[in-house]
Amino acid sequence: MKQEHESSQESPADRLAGELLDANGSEVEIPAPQSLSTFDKSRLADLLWLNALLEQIYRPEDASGRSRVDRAMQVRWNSDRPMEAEKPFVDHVADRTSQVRRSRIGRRWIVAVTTVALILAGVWFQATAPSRQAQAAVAEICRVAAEPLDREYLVTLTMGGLPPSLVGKVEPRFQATLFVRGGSAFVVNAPSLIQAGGFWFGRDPSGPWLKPSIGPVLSGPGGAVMQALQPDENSPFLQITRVLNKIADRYDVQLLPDDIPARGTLVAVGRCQRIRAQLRRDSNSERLPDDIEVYSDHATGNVVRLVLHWNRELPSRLTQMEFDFVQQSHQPDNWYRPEGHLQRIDK
Amino acid sequence: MDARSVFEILIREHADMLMAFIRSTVRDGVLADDIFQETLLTAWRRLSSYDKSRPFGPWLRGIAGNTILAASRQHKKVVSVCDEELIQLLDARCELLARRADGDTLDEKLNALRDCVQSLPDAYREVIEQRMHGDEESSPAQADRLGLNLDTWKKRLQRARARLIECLHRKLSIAEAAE
Repeated sequence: MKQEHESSQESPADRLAGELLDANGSEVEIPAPQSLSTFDKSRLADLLWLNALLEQIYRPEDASGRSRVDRAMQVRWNSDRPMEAEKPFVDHVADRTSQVRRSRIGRRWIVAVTTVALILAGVWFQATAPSRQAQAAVAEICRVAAEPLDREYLVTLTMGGLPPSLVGKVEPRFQATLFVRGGSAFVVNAPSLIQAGGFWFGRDPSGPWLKPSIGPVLSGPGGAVMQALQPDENSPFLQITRVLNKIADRYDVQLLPDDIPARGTLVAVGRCQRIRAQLRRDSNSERLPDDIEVYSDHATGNVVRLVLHWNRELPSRLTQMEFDFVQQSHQPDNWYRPEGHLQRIDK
Repeated sequence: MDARSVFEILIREHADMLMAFIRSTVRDGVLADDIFQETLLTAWRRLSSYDKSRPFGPWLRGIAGNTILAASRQHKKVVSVCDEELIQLLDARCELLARRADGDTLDEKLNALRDCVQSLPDAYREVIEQRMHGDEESSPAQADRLGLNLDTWKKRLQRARARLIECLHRKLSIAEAAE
């Protein structure tokens, strides 16, 4: 006998569904549904619904409704005529019928026009199908990214346009650790930028903040640093959901063949869904990346790698930002506030 | 075309989805048949209350939901659930499938789920297919036939179902986003 060791906890809904579907359902003592949480109830609905659909696939003779219609329609049919119901329903159908008759003269024209419209729609549909598939994929990735889960990414910034005398032949690269919680908060730890222990900065629903390695917390609007951190219309780069939403709004997207992320990805992933986004030329957002590449996990929709690239020179000299998924974790509630990092920094 | 003919056309169009909705909650086949027939009869009697500007499927499932709730008070042990909220959750899922999945009939719409089954790892697909083909066979017998410990068989089935649910929701939400 093979045996698997499982570490996952079984939810009440899974347990109940298993008893209902896999044991003899008639012998199961069914708890009051009120005793289930909303989450469990939704889960139970999923499981019961799935089983009913699988029955339609695997046992259509048991589950088909159409095969039962004949029998049902004969049961006491004549003696149960819908006394008041039938007339309005017939009138409704009669109205539709007479409308069709009145329009018979114009039918040929309608058919001709409809045919042309359908052909045009078909051409349009075929021409735009790949784009719409890519947009749908972006929408799904946005949805997954917005889930209120804590995800950790390694961020790599590449700077360009600096004089070789200053930086040598290799473009300077800086790395930081980014934590995001859905679309509501992020926090960055940049230990390599400042030698004395690094600093933390972030944003939660109450606004942006910065905790330097030395000194008080800076928060609220105003000040060059805070303005730089403020993820406004033109600088959405640290909140991954905002990057993805920008893609949906302001970029032309295309699905590329699935691929394994080329480099940088810190977790073992298989072939990923790959999307390339190019900034629309009519966009006047000077600081938005010219193109963005997204790799997402097929199974979960989670972004595993995100590369932002600028072809033009920015005041910041930033030419590329890479986000590589590290892990999903569970952080304390104050993780996205400066309080969560005071001791770590000041000790 | 008389009212009965139109009604019959609509019923045939929605019968499979209606049956799936009923069988989500009613495990006993005979009782499910009774509820199906009772729903059709009630729908025919109440045809005057049907708002023709609204879709027929949700109206029909609303009647079925009330019939199920009534039946659950009499047959507590053969109706899986007897709760309005759960009935609404199931109805929402049926509606999502009806509106979002490709195809005109339920059988065509179920291609989305067939794709999900095909994408399962072999071990999970095997246990799902065996379970659905062998409804009369006991769980220990099915587990034994696959050479699995009963707990392992249950866990594998549970995981396969979880994957199918996730896959189906993902397909439907992608279809929704594409609209």
